[in-house]
Amino acid sequence: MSKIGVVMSREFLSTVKRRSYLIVTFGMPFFVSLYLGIVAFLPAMFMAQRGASRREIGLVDEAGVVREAEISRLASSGPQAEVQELTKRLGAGSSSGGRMAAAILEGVATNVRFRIFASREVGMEALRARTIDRLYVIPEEYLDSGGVETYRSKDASFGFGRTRAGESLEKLLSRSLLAGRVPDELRPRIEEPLRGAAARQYTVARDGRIEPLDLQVRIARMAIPGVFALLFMMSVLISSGYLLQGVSEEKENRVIEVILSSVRPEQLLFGKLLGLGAAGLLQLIVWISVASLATSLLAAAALAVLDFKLFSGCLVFFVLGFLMLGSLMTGTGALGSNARESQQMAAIWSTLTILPPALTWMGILDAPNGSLARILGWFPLTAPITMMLRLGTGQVPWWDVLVGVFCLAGGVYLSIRASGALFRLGLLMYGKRPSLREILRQLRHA
Amino acid sequence: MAILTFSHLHKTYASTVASEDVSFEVRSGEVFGLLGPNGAGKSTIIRMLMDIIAPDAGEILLDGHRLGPGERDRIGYLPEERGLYRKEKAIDVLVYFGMLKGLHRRAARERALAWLKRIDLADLADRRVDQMSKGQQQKVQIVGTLLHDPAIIVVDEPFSGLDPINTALVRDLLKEKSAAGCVVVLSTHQMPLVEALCDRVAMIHQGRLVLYGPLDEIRRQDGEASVLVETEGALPELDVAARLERQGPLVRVFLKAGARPRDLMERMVRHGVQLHHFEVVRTPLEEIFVRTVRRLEAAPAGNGALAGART
Repeated sequence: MSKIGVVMSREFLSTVKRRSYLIVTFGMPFFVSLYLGIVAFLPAMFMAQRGASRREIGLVDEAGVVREAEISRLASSGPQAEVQELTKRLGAGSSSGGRMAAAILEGVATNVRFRIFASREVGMEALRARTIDRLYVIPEEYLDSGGVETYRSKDASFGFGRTRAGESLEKLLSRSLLAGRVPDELRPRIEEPLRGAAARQYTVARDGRIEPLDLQVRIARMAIPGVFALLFMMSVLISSGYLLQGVSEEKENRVIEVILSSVRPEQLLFGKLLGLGAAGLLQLIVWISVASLATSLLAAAALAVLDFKLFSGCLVFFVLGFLMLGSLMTGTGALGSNARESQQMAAIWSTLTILPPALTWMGILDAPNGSLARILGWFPLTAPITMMLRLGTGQVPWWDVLVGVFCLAGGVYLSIRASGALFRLGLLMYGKRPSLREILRQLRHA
Repeated sequence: MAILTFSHLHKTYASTVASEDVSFEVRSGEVFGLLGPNGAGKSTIIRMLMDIIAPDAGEILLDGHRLGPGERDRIGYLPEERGLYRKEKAIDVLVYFGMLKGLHRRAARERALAWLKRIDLADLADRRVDQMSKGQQQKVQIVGTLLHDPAIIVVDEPFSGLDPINTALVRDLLKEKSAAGCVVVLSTHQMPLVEALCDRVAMIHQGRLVLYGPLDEIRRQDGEASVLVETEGALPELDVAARLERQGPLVRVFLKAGARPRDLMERMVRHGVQLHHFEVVRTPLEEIFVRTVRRLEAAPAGNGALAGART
C-alpha cells in the first residue's frame, strides 16, 4: 500500500470508529427530523387554521354590474394550472417542507370569495364587526367614472391576500362586464389571452430540435447541480472540521514529527484529505439516506442516467473543488496554535468559495456565459459551485468547461504544494504562530 | 566508509541562524554523537536529515546519494518532541508507524507484538495509550522507532524525560543495535552519556561545527592534561604545573602545554614529595566543550568555526 493509502485508511478507520463520529452520524438524523417536524408542523398547522377561518371580502354593487354567476364561476376556478401541477408534485413528495410550500402556493394562487352586501351601511357594519377584512363599493356612476371605493379595517395585516383580493375583483368585474356583450367563444381569449388550455411551450436546441417544454425536466436539470453544490458545501465543512481537529490533535500530541519523518507533508495532507473526505461523505450519505432527502438523491441518481454529461461534469468539479478547498483549509489551519484558531483561519477559504456564487447565483443563471459567470467559473476558488450552476443551464460550450477544469486542476496542484509547505511549517511550531515573513519564505520554497 | 554525509548545511529561521556551513560524516558501524547545548542547532540538523525541514543550502547524502523518500524508510527516528495517538490502542499506533515505514500490516503487527513482549508490555498491547503510565508510553515510543529494523537509528535527546529504568533500556538497545551493525546518530546535550556510548562526535555551537572527530583524539588534543594528587604536606613549586586546583583532600595539577603526567611524577620524586595518590585525569567532554566555546567567543568574529574537519 502506498503511504498515501496508509494514511488514508488510518484516518478513515480511526475517524469512523470514534464514538463522537458514531453519535453525530446516527444521532443527527433523529434530532434533525425532530426539529424539522416541529418547525414544519407548527406553521402548517397555523396556516391550515387560517385557511379555514379565512374571512371573506365584502362587495356592495350600487352600479349593478356584477353578475352572480361570475362570482360562483370565479370561486370554483382553482389555482392556475402551472401552480396546480407544481403543488401536486411538491405535495406528492414525502417531505414536510414540500407539503408546507405546497400549502403556501395554493393559498396564494386561490381566488378570494366575495360576499355581496345589499347596501353600503350593511357592508360597513360587517367591516366594523371585523367579519370581513375589506369592503369594495362599486358606486352608481362606476360605468361612467370607474371609481371603485375600497374600505379596509385599520388593523388589517399586510399579506398575499391583499393583492389577491384586488386581482380577483378585477377578474370579477371584467368577466361580469364581458358577459352578454361578447360572444361566449371569444371570452376565454379575452379573459386569459396567454394561458388558455391550448397554450403550448417549446424549447429549441442548437441543432434545431424542437421539444415541448417539460417543466419537470427543467426542474430536474437544476436539481443535479443543486444537489452537488449542497453536497459540496456540506462535505467540505464536515470534512474540514475533522481535518482540523485531527491536525490540532497531532500537534498537541507531538506525534506529528514521527509521522513527518516517514511521509512527506504533501502525502500526509493528501492521505488525510481522502480518508477524512470519505468519512465526511459517509456521514453525509447516512444523513441523506435516513432523512427524507433520499428522494432528491435518488432523483439525482436517476438523472445521472438521463443526463450523464451533466452528472459527470458536476462530479469532476466536486472532487477537484473538495481537494483544493480541503488542502487550503488544512494548510492554513495547521498554522493555528490551537483548534479554535485553526478553525477561524480555515474559515477564510470556505467563505471565499461559497460567498461569491451565493451572492450572484441569479446573475449566473441569467447569463451563464456572461463575463461574471465566466470569471467566477474559471477562478479556482469559486469555480466548483459556479460551474455546477452554469452546467445546469446546459448552455455552456465544452471549451469553456475545459478551461474551468484546467484552471481548477492548476489550483489544486498549487494549493497542495503551498499547503504542504505551510503544513510542514505550522506542524512543527508548537504553541506559537509563525511570522508572516516565515510563511512567505516557505511558500517561495514550495 | 561514510554512510551519511552532511555537506555545507545552511539553515536560517526568521532572524536566527540555526545551521551555518555545517559539514561532517557518519561512518558505517559507529555510534556518532551530535553534541551541543540546548538551542545549538542539533535538532535542526536532525530534522534536515529526516527531510522534515529543507536546508537553505547544502545537502545530505546517504551512501553517496541524495536522500530520497524511499531511503528514509531505512532510518528509525526518535524525535525530541515525541508523542503517540493518545486515544488509540498501543498496538494500533505501532502498526501505523510500521506501515508508514513500508511494512505490511501483518508484518507490522507481528513485529510490534514481539517487541512489546520483549519490553514486558505484551499484556498492554490492546490498552489505550492514555491509560498507560508515562514510562510505558516511552517504551512504546522506542518500539515505534525500532519496529521496522532500521539500518540507521537517529535519536534526538533520547534520555530526556526517561526514568532510570528506561534510560538503561534505551542505552542497552542502542549498544545492542550498534553491535549488530546499525549506525546510531545520537544527538544530546548530556555529555557523560556520549562519553559512554560514542565513537566519534561533532560539537555544534550557535549553529556552527566547533569540534569534530574521534572522541579519544579530541580529548587528547583539546583536553587539558591534568593529574589528581594527594601528598604529605604542601606541593613545592613545579615547573611543569600551570596551575593548581584543590578538590577536597586532593589537588588537581593542570600541566603546562607539552608536559606529560610522567614529567610531573619525575619532578615530584626529584623533590622528595611523599605521594599518597596519583591519578591521570581524563578530561571530561563537558570541560572540553565549555573551554572550546569560551575560546571561540573570545576570538574575533568570523574566526570561530572549525576550519577543517578532523577525522
